[in-house]
Amino acid sequence: MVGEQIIPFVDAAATLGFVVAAGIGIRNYQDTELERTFWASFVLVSVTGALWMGLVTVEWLGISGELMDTLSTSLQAIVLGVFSVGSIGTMAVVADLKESQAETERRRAEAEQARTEAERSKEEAETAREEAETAREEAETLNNHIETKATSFSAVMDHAAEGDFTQRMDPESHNAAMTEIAESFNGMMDEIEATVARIRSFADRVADSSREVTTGAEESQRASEQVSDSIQTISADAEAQSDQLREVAAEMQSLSGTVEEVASSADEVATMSRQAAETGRDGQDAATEAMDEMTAIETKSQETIDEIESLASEIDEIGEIVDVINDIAEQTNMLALNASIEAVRAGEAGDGFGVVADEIKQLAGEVADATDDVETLITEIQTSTDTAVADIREMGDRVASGTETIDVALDSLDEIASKVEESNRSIQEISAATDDQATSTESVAGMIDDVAEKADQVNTESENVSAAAEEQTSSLTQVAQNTRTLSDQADELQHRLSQFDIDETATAGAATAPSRTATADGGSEERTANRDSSGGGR
Amino acid sequence: MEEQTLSTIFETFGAQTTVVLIVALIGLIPVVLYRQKTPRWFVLAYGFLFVAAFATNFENVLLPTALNLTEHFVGNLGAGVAFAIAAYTYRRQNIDTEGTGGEA
Repeated sequence: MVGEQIIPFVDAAATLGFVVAAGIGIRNYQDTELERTFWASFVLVSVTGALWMGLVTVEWLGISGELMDTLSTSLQAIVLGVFSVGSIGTMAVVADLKESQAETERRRAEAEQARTEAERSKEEAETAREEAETAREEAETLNNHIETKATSFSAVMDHAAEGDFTQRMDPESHNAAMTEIAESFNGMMDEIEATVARIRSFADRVADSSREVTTGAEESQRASEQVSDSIQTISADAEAQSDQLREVAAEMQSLSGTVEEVASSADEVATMSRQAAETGRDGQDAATEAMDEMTAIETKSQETIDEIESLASEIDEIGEIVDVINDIAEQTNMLALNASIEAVRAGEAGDGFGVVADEIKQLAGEVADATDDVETLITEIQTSTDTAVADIREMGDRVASGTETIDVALDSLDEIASKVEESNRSIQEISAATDDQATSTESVAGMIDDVAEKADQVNTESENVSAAAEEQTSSLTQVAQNTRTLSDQADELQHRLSQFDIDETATAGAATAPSRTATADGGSEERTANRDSSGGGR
Repeated sequence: MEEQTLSTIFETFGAQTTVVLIVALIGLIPVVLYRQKTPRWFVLAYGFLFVAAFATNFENVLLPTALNLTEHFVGNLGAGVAFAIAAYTYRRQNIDTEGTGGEA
C-alpha cells in the first residue's frame, strides 16, 4: 500500500519537527528567565519525541524488534506524561507568574504616574500661590475700592427699598464688575420705575373700571332680582293656568262624554224616526189599501143594493104571483063552493063531486093558507129587504163617509209621513251633526289635554327658569361682591403704589419711549415702543 | 476473573501500548484544566499525541489500516509539526515582542 510505504517518511518528518522544536526550545530557554523551567521541560519532551519518532522510523525501515517496540512505546509514554504534566503544568504556572508580574508592573506604572502628577500639581500649586499672592494684593486694593462703591450702592439700594425709585448708582468705577452692577441696577430701576408708573396707571384704570363694573354688577343684580321675581310670578301664574287647564280638560272630558251620550241618543232618535217614517209610509200604504177596500166595499154595496133592489122587484113579482095565486085560490074556493052546491043539487051522483069539491076546497084553502104564508114571508122578506136595503144604503153612506174620512186620513197620513220624513232627515242631520260634535268635542278635549300638558311643561320650565334666575341672581350677587372686593383691592393697590416715588415726567416719556430690560445673561436690551404701548393699552 | 480480564486486555491491546493509552488519558487532565492558560498550539500538540496513542492501541482491534495511517499521518506527524510551530509562535508572540518593548 502506498500509504504504508510513505509512513517512514512521515515519521521522519515528525522526527524533524521534534528536532526543530527542541532547537527553538533551547533558544527560548536562553532568551527567557521566568520560563526557563517550561522550556527545559519542553526541550526534554522534544528530544524524547525525536528519539521516539526516530525509533519508529527505523522500525518502519526494517529494523525492528521487541526492544525497539519497548523503547518506542516507553518514549511515547514519557513524551505524553512529561509534556502533559511537566510542560503544560509548568506553562500554567508561568502564565500565572506572568500575570502577577504584569499586575505588579501595572501598579508600579500607576504609582509612577501618580507621583509624576503629584509633582506637577505641586508645581502648579506653587505657581498658583504666587499668582494668588499677586492677586491678593490687587484684590486688596480692589476690595477697598469695591467696599467704598458697595457702601454707596448699599445706600442707593436702601433708598430704593424704601420706595424711592428715582435713585441711581454711579457707574464710574475701576472695577468693571461694579460698573456693570451699577449700570444693571440703573437699568433695573429704570424698568421698575417705568413698570410702577404703568402699574399705577393701570391700577387707576382698574380702579375706575372696577367701580364701573361694581355699579353695573349691582344694576345687573337688581335687574336679575326683578327678573327672578317676574319669573316666579310667571311660574305661579303658569301653575294656576295649568290647574285651570286641567279643570277645563276634565270638564271637556265630561262634556265629551255628554255629547257622546247625546249623539248616542240622537242616533236612537234617528233610528226611531226612521222607523216612524217607515211606519208612516206603511200606514200610508195601509190607508191607501183601506181606501181601495172602502172603494171596493162601496162598489160592492152598490152592487148589493142593486141586487137587493132587483130581489125586491122579484119579490114584488112574487107577490103579484101570490096575488094571482090567491085569486086563483079564491076562485077555486068559489068553484069548490059552487061545486058543492052543485053536488048537493046533484044529489047522490054528486057525492063524489062533492068530495072532490071538498078536497078542492080544502086544497084551495091550503093554497090560500100557503099563499098567506107566502105573502107573510114575502112581506117579511120585503120588510127585511127594505131594511137590508136601508142598512146597505146606510152602510153605503157610511162607507162613503168612511171613504171620505179615510181620504182625509190618508191626506193627513201623507202629510204626517211627509212631516215624519222631513223630521227624519232633520234628525239624521242632527245625529250626524251630533256625531261630528262629539268627534269635535273629543278632539277639543284632546287638544285641551295637550294644552294642559304643555302648560305643565311651561310651568316646569318656568320653575327651572326661576331656579336659574335665582342662581343667576346669586351669581351676580357674588360677582357684585367680587367686583366690590376687586374695587377695594384696586384702591388698596393705588394706595400702596402711591407710596413709591417715581419721576412722573420721565415715566411719562418712558410710557412711549423704549425702555431697558434685563436679559437672562445679565445684560439688557431695549424694548420697542409698539410693544410697550400695546402692553399699556391692555 | 480479574486476572483473566486483564490478560485478555493485554493480549488484545498489548501491555505497553495500554500503559501509553492510560498515560495519555491521565495526561489529558492537566491539559484540559490548563487549556485557558496554555497556548493553542501546545494543546493541539498534545491532541495529536493522544490521537497517536489512541490509534496505536485500537489498530489491533478495528480498522487496522485506517488507524495505522491515522497514527502516523495525523498523530505522529501532527505532533512533530505542532511542537515546532508551538515553539516558534510562542517565541514570535512573547519573546521577540519583549525584546522590542512589549509582550504580545
